[in-house]
Amino acid sequence: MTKKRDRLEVIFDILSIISKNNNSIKPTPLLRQSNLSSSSFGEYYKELTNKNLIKELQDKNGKKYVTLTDQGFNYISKYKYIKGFISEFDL
Amino acid sequence: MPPMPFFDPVRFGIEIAYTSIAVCLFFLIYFRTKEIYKLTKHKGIMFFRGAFLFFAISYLLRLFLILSRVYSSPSSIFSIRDFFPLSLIFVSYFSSLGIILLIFSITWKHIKSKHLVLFAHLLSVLLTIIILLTNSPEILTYIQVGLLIVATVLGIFFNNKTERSKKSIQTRMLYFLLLLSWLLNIWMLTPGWFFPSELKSLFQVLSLVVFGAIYYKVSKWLK
Repeated sequence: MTKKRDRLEVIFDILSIISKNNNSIKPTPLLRQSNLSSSSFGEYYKELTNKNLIKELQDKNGKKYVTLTDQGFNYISKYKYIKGFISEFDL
Repeated sequence: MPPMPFFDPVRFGIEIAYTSIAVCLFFLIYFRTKEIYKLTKHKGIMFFRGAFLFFAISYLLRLFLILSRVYSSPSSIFSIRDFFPLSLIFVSYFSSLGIILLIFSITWKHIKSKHLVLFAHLLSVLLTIIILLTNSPEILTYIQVGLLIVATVLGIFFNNKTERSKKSIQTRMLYFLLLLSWLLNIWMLTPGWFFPSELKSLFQVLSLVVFGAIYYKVSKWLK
């Protein structure tokens, strides 16, 4: 049985999915690839938007896309250190 | 009010140097962790940062406490010595808050409460009221010895409950030494206890090694 992902790991996974899709993905495939229930995904989506890690854009046809902000890219690059820091200090 | 001790300019110079290094290290820990807190809004990081911010303030106020104990001008109506009770109240409040937040930084995951910050402030106010009523650094030392015991028990209890790495055990040892350093620093201010200056200096060097080790562990992860 795989270990349950913690909150920081889930956020990292969501941001990584967006990054791997050329920083542009529709919300539905993002939900599918993130392996979360739709209610959990909704909560994370709201949290990431509020924290300014992702932003939602609309193309000229009115279709929604999710992209990473600079903060989002920063989170991905610092994730290893953040996890190390939390583990080192038992936070 | 405690009796006025002898003013030694060399000792006071050492105290200024010691406080400056300690406060710089604590502020560095606080400011260098700002970015990872901003990215994650992690509660543990919030408590950790808060603890070091309040320790920095406490060490600064402790210096003022020393100054208000040893310095007075008989010719002046207004004496800095009159500020001793006020300094003691602020030292009590900020240092208790620092200790409580450090305890919460390792235990918050096991305590299911959304009001830990409020609780930390209320407990610090309560402890400060006791100091306000007694106006005694000795009582402050006894209260904070109690907090150190609580921190140690919780540290051991939550350490056994979950699997912990060798690194986190080292960190808990450093936390213990950090709190012990603070207590000895306050204890040295209590009247009736005489510590030779050399012993104080040796202890201060050792405590700076502890603060430096914590800062080193923090900076390792902040690239």
